[in-house]
Amino acid sequence: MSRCQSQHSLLHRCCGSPANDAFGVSWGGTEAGFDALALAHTDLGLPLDEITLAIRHTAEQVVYKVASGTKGPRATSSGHLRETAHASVLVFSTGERSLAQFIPGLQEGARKRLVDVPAEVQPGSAFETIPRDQIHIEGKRFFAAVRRQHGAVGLAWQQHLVAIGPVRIKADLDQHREQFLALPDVVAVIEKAHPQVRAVVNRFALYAAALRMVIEARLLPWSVAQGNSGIVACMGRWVAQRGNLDTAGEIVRAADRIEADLVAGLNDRFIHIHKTAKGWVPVTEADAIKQQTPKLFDGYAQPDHILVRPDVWQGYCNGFDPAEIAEHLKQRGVLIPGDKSTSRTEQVFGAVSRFYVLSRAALTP
Amino acid sequence: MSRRPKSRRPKSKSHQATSAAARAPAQQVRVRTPGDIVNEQTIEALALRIWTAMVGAKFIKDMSNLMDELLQSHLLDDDDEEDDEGWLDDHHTRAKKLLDEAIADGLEKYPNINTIDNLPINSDPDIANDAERLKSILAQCAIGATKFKEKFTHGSLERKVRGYFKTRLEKDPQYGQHVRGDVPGADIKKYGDKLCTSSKGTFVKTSSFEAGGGLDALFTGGWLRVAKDRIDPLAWSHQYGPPRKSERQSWRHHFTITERNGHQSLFELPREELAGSGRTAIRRLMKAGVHVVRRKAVPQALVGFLNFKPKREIIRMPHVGWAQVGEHWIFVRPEEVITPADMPQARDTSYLLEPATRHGLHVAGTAAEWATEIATPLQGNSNVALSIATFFAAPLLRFAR
Repeated sequence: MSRCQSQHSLLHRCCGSPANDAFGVSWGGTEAGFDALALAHTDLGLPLDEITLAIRHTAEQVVYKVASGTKGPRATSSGHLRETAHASVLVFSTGERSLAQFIPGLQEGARKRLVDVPAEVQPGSAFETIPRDQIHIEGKRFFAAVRRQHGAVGLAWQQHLVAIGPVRIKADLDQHREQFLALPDVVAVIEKAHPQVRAVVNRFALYAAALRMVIEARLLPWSVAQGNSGIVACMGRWVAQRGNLDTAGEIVRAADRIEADLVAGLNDRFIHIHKTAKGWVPVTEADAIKQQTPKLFDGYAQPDHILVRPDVWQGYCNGFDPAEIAEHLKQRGVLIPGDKSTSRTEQVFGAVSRFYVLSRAALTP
Repeated sequence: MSRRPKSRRPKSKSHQATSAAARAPAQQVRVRTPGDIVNEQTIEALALRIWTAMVGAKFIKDMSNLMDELLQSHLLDDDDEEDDEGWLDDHHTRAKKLLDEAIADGLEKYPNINTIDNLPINSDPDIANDAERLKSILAQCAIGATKFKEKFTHGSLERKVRGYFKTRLEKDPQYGQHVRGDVPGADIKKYGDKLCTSSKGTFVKTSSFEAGGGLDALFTGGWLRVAKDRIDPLAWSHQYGPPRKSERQSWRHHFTITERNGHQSLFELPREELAGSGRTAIRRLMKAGVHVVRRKAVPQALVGFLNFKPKREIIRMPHVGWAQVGEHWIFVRPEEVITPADMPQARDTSYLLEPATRHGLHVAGTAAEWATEIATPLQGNSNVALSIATFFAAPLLRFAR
């Protein structure tokens, strides 16, 4: 979510569960720090601010960890597998720049889990009811109110959930999610949505269901319609900034990105070869050195074609079905298929291997 | 090889009668009557009382300087600037030496009962009365040659002198007011018979003055102060998850430390640190700022105190949020654990979040006030809805399909 600093703080502090200044944390921490933080906020929610303070690599790692909720395997001092802590945490991050802007190559899985919602709802303001020129006045009032009132409603909510127990929580949650997903505005998005988009809509449904349950518990003095419309509006902004939602649109976007990635990495990620009377040979001395460790590179760049190793191809697809992407690039005339498959058998330096073969002339830079 | 001891079986009555008749009258030993035995015991008791008074009087005189030192040292009057109590060990050694000297001197001056039979009349009416009775009974039962050193052990003589000293001290207008039968301070809380805390600190019962304790024991009721802060045992705790008594467990002792100004802190001590001499545990206490008294007997006594097992048991939760206990789900927060009303509560068992995972989450105001002051004015704002929903949805995530 992106908007100016004071508005971020206000949004953080509006939350029911959060507490004092120590509750909100900036992105400018270490990976290990975020591990501990995620554990400390399990089932509570984690407000983060100022993503631009983060080191990009750290932020990316944090996003993946937070998205998956797990850490990599670690060993004990005796070499046995250490029990890893599992964190279940919902993150609410605000900043001037969106996550996608800050980490351009963010994988699809992470983008699905950390959803970018543009915050601006009217010129210069993240609040429908507060115009830009009133924000500093209203902000002061709310900051003072939040200093007096924080955490109590979160506690009351947790007490309510403990009292009703998991069986009823699940039942209520399912019922309210279904009701949200049946709203016409939501159905309109779902009907044409790619599965990855539907997963995000389901996440919005979780938020809407939470609001409905809190309203039902008489802890939030809003109407169900108000809660729904708020979440639907956020979903709408996310849809608008994302663009193509349908399957075809998603594949087109992914294929565009793959073409761009291939062109951008052509010099560094591929071993350039050309054909002589003796067969394929490295173009330069540097390529000859690269050829000593070919598995460290994505494949080969011939004068007319790019040969991408299948395992690397999967990485380029970044969460999308590699076969689906290959088929689409074939239709574009970028990918040159084999007889029975979208990949081909090619002989390079005497070895026969399968590659995804792309036409350099057809690639869009 | 062991040699078989000679049989000491009592001879038969007829054999005794024959032997007695065979002896010359002058050589005959008169059989002690019950009256004789009573007289002998009375003489010994009276003689010991008088001897103790004589030795005790000297001991009191010798000890007066030490007594004054002790009182002038503001014992247990803990000022901002204060000395360590290690000097009390030295004090104890000096007092013991004076006592041994007084006893040795007494045994030399008054080695047997006869030597105290002819003393001038004592100013203490009780002792004077004893002396009169002794003289009268000695006339009937001539055991004046009985030596104190042979009749009584050094330990029993020492106990008598110590007892006399205490009695006299209690009657003394200057010192009597400082003699205590119980632990010093107010708000005394006892843990078993030998451990307690009070506003004056943490105490362990040791030897009373009569039983060999230092002079200071007279002023502390025989309670040795091990820490100037109050260390109240709260509970033992173990981790949530691993079996209670397994090598994966990590038991801890929990205490409430109360400073003299009333400030309280919670203190946790890994149980394994009490193994052996328990030095690590004491080091940890000192790191926490607890004022541990530096006396020879303190480390062992303090470790004994720290080992106390209260009834209450705490289950330490590894992180905030939901946790399943049996068939019930509880919600762990940094400052409390929410349990369902229908969950059977084991007596003296509670739940606590591991301190390392505590972060933020304070509470101010009420849910109703939050609704009035914040939620109502901000309704109609979609970003606020998303923001609020994030945190209300967080505890639902675990149950979301």
